[in-house]
Amino acid sequence: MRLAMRTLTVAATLVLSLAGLARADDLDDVRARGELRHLGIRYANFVTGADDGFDVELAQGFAKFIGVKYTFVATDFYSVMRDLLGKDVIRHGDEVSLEGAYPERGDIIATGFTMLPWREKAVLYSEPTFPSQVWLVARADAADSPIKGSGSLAKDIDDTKAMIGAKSLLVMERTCLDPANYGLKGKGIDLRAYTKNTNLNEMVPALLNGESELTLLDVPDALLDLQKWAGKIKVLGPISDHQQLAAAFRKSGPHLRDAFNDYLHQIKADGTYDALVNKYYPGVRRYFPAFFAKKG
Amino acid sequence: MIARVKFGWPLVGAVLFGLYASALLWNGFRSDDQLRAEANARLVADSAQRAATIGDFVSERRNDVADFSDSHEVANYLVNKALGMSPLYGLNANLDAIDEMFRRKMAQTTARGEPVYARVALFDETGAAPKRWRSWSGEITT
Repeated sequence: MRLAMRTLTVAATLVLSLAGLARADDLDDVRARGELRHLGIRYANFVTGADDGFDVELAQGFAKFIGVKYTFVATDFYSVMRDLLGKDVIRHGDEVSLEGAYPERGDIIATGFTMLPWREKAVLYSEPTFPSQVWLVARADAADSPIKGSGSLAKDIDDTKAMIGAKSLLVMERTCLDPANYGLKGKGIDLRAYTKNTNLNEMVPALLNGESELTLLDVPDALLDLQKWAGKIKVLGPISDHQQLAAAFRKSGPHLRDAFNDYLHQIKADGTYDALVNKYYPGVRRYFPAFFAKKG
Repeated sequence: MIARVKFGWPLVGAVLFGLYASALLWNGFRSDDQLRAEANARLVADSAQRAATIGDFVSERRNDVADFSDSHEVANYLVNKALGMSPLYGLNANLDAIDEMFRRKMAQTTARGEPVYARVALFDETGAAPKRWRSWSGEITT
């Protein structure tokens, strides 16, 4: 009897596992549906809001690569993982739990999505698509002077963090500008979460509007803001180590992720990837030469 | 009387022929002078036109240099440099914008279908190029 129960339990587990793998979100299912739903957030030059952007063209190319129609699904940084997974991702430090039941609105997140350890517990990442880093930014008239750069990134990060002191710092939780990602919580910093919306493009206007003395900004956004708000803001220094951005998929979609990686290899080999980088972030190679160095 | 007449007509003929030949020679020399003068005048006019064209070309290049140095890309770089930003963290973004602007202007500036500029680079008031500057041609200038 005990043996029969054990066999039944194993069989049930196996069936449930197979059922999980067979959810309609892997490569074959996307092909059968004939549509790739791209979850994107209007942000920097990844998703410009004008039907183009680095990640928009990347996802459009991927849809073509697997032979399906491309559909853009607009979302925001608070909802993007829920829209992919159909569950709310609740973060407990570095751990996460998936809760609730919501519609799965997309098949792929590609929107300047930073690879973070806690996110990796909930989604499958592709190979990195873009480099990044988080910088500390102040208004041009702030008393603090930018660091000179010591040649050691770790020292530069320490020097930059030391500048924050008890000043007010604008952050956006659950994004790459979440202070918890960089050990900034519980350090006596006056953290001010920007909650008016989840558009990271609004961090600098909020800073200039006096909502805080400092703000976090990631490099892709900063490169654009330094042109747009030249003379009004200054970069004080780095807050994070080098980061990587990637496309994200459901854990039950490994073949879709693998197909994306194949596509990425192809466009890196035929020059399409380089053309996209030059089109949307012409200066980024200067900051991350190692990422863009040709392999092999 | 007859002898005098016989002697007179050839002389008259010779004189007339001499006058005619002289007239021809004079006319020939005069035409040659006129041709030479016209050729010289044409050469002077061509040279003046060429000088004016070169003057216009140089003037356009001077305007280009003024446009380059007055561009908002260069102004942004100088402002951010004055703010003390490090090339490692932000300042190089302005150099990239300048690089892109130079590339664009170089591509747009042509004469008879040929590019006017082989190279454009930025130098500060001391004649030095900004550190970490990489010109369009890929050469590091410092």
